[in-house]
Order: sequence, then structure tokens, then C-alpha cells
Amino acid sequence: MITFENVSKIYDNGYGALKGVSFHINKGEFVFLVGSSAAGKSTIIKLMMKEESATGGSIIINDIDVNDLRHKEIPYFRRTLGVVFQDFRLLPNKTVQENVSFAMEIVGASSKEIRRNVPLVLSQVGLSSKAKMYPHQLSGGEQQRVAIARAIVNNPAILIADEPTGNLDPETALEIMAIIEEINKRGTTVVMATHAEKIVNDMKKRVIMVEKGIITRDENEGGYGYVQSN
Amino acid sequence: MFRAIKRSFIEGTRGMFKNGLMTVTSLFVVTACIFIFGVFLMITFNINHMTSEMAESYQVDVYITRPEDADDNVYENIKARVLDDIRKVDNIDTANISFVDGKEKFKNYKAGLDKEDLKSFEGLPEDLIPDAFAVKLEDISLVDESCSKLSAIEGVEDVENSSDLVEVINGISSAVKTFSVWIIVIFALVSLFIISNTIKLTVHNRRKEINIMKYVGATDSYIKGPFIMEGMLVGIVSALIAFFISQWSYLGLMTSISTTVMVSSFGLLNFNDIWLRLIVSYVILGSIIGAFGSSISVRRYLKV
Ligand SMILES: Nc1ncnc2c1ncn2[C@@H]1O[C@H](COP(=O)(O)OP(=O)(O)O)[C@@H](O)[C@H]1O
Ligand SMILES: [Mg+2]
Repeated sequence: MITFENVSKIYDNGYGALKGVSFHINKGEFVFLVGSSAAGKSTIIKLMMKEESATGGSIIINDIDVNDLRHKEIPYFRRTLGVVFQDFRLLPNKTVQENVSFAMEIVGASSKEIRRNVPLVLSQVGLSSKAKMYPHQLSGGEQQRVAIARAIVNNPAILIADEPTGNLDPETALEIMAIIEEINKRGTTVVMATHAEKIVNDMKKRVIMVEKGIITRDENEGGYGYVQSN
Repeated sequence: MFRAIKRSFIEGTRGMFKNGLMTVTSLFVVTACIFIFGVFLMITFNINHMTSEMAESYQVDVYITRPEDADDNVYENIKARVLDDIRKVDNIDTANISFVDGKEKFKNYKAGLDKEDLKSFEGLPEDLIPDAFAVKLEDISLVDESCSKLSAIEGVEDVENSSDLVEVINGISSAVKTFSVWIIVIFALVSLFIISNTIKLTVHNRRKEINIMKYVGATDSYIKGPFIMEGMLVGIVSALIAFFISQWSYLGLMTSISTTVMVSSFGLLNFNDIWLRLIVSYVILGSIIGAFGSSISVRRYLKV
């Protein structure tokens, strides 16, 4: 489903953020991308979304060679991915419902489909009662749920999350993780960059550790550090 | 498709109103540019009209030599051959060749004179003025070339035209046309710059939204749509305002000419004859400038 083969990324300023990264993620997996700040986690995510282009190696996602994507093809490629960020990225002048339906309008869904799917995903993230509210009227956790609803409303094969709990208190973070885990259980592949140790340790999922642009560890049912319990 | 246009229209209009002052400023400048463009367009229209009217009444007289010894039969043959040869020259309006009888012309001329003047014509032969064919040209700017070809025909005595006048008119009209093209280019560029700056403001205000749209998988054209529509609306509204200003000033000019010079119309076109061409040119120019100006501004934000 996702294959990185000896991928490197040198930014325009000459900084080498990734130095030969390889991993393979199967359909339906739940993978944590961990590592300290500036390790290169977000860079990996940006390469997956083709927000940045790799300077070496190959990236295959859903049988698509991401390096070879032409500018015109990128939007259609991105529709197969759902993305969630640390800072939610909601449109402040649109209601919860509009923030979600907007993602469907963009891909040209009919208004009938929009009327059917939006309430469905809003209930999936537990926000049915707040559909008419604006982002500033919601708590951080609720805003992140809107972002998740927007990410999954078009049924992406892969959900990519970059530090989705980074701005949330631990309790809210757990609620968000429960929602993401639920999405994964329904068959969506999840890749989540984080440095939230407790979450990683508690969930016992596959862990890929990045340090200074190199993968230093890749283990199933791993923990954040080498020591697995306490 | 229709949905996409509708959405672009709604959001484009919204953008126009949100930008309030900036929109008003650019409407103002673009209107002025289109109006100036229009002034030259109207001058060009009128010059074209004058030249074509001139061309219509303009004729070249081709005089035929009647040899001393030729009897009527021979002369008829000569005339027929000259007519044939005239028809073969390019740029001749073959459907519009008429024969001018020299004797009749002379008689008519004398009929217009009083007794005193007639005295000096006494004793002159009645065939003083040779017969001629009056010929019209399809393109009067080629008058010199056509006249030399006509003179070269055997049996043609002389070719008479007022080519100086034509040259002056042709000179003026080509100068005005060249000048107009430059004016149009310059003011189109100014408008382009102004509109693209206004749209840049809208785009900048909505860069976050554009960015989110890109993440969710919106195509460039989906994102561009509303901005291009906004630019086109600014262009079209300016075009309409400029049109009303043009109408008002053109009619005003016509009235003041006819009251001061006491000559109605003065060879100028009526507004009724040009309004359609004018408004179509304005709207086309306005919308092209608007669409182009805004796509320049959005492009930068679409790279992500
Ligand atoms: N656009 C960029 N230009 C130059 N350097 C960058 C850019 N983006 C990230 N970096 C650098 O690449 C390194 C990895 O960044 P990032 O992938 O964001 O790390 P992480 O998400 O693991 O904290 C950092 O040193 C960062 O400064
Ligand atoms: Mg990061």
C-alpha cells in the first residue's frame, strides 16, 4: 500500500532532512511514526502527500509512483488520502457541517451524496449536535474531530495524521485516538506521526522510529522507547 | 459544469464586495482605461467610416483617345477593347463602370455658366472633352498602382484622379490606427496590473482556504474559478460603466458639433451605428483583462 524505498529529501536550502528511508506499510495497518522534534516525521508525511518531492529513492502509494505524478494529477491522488494536522486547519467562517461538506464539493460529489454522507461522518466522530456551530465555538478536541470528519468523508484508503494530538490535553488526546483507531478498524490504513510517548506505548501498534533522517527502528506492537514497559 | 460556474459566480461576487474599497479603486481605474481605449476605438470607427464613404464617391476617370481618322465603327471597337482591358485590372469594381460622354459633359458644363463666361468657349469644338469611363476602386489605398495600370492600357489618353486627397486620408487613418493599437496595448496592461493587484488581495485573504482546498484534493481550476470570475466581473462592470460614459460623451460631442458648426452629423457616425461594436469590444476587453489579471495572481498560491 505504501512503500518508501531508499528515500532521501534535501530541502532547497541544502538541508538533508531524510537520508535513505525505507519501509513498507500494508493495507489496513496502523503505524506510528515516532522520533524527536526535527527528526524528519513531517517531511515523510509531506512526501506522502506530494506537498514536497523526494530528491532520491522511490515512493509508491496505492500503486502510484508518487515521484512521477504530474502537477495536474496531484489533486486526484490526494483524494485517496485523508489528512489531519496538529493545528486542525478548519475554515473559521464555515460551520462544522460546511467544513466537512466543502471537502465533498471539491471532489464534485452530488448534493444528494453530501446530504447523506456528512451527517454520517459527523455522528461517527460524535459531533452530530454541533453541526451548525463555528470552529471558534468548539473545544480543541471537537475541532480536531471536525478535521477528522473532513479527512474521512470521501472514504480515503489512507488516513495520514501529523501530530493530531499535539495541541490537546491527554484526556482529549485519548478520545481522538479512539476515533482514529475506530476508523482503522473499518479498514482504513493509518499513518500517524507523533511524539506522544504514552499514546504510543498504550496502543501497541507498529512503530517506525526516525532519528536525524534515518529509520532506526521498525517493530510491530512496539513502544516509544526501547524499554517497553514502564 | 453549470454548478462550477454558478459557484464561481457566487464566490466571485462575494469577493468583489468583500474587497470594497480596493474593488472601487480598480473599477475606477479600469473604467478609465477602457474609456480611453474606447475614445480611440470611436475615432477609428469614424475614420474607417469616412474613408469608406470617400471610397464610395471616389472615382477615377479613364479618358479614351479617339484617333483623328477613326470612324464611328472603329471608335466603338476601341471603346469596347478599352473597357475590356479596364475590367482586367485588379482592384477595379467591375460592376460599377460607367461611360461618360465627353460632348454631353461639355454641354452640361457650359449650361452651368453665364453668358459672359460662355464667350471664352466660343469656337471650341464640341468634342473638346474626350469620352471616358468612370471607374470605382475596391481599395482606394491602392489608387496609385491601379492608375498606372490603367494609364498603360492602349487607347487611354489620360487617367484623372485626386490621389493627393487619398494619400492624406490614408496617412491619417493608418497613423490613427497605429496609435490606437499602442494606446490599447498600454491601457490594457495598466488594467491588467490593477485587476491583478485587486485579486491578489482576495487571494491573499483566502490563502489559508486555498491551502486547505489543495490538501483535500481540489484541482487548480476549481480553486481558480471564483478568482477568475471576480476579475471578470470587475472587468465587465468597468466595461459597462465605460460604455455609458462613452455614450454620454459621444452624444454630447455630436450635439455640440451640430449646434456650433451648424452641420448636423458632420460625416460622423451616429451612436446607433457604433454602440453594439463598442459594447462588445468593451466587454470582451474587460473580461479578458479580468480573467487574465486574476489568473496571474492566483498562480503563485497554487504551487503547494
Ligand atoms: N521547507 C523546509 N526547508 C528547509 N528545511 C526544512 C523544511 N521543512 C523542514 N525542514 C527541516 O527538516 C528537518 C526535519 O523537519 P520535520 O520533518 O518537520 O521534522 P519533525 O516533523 O520530525 O519534527 C528539520 O531540521 C527542519 O528544520
Ligand atoms: Mg513535525
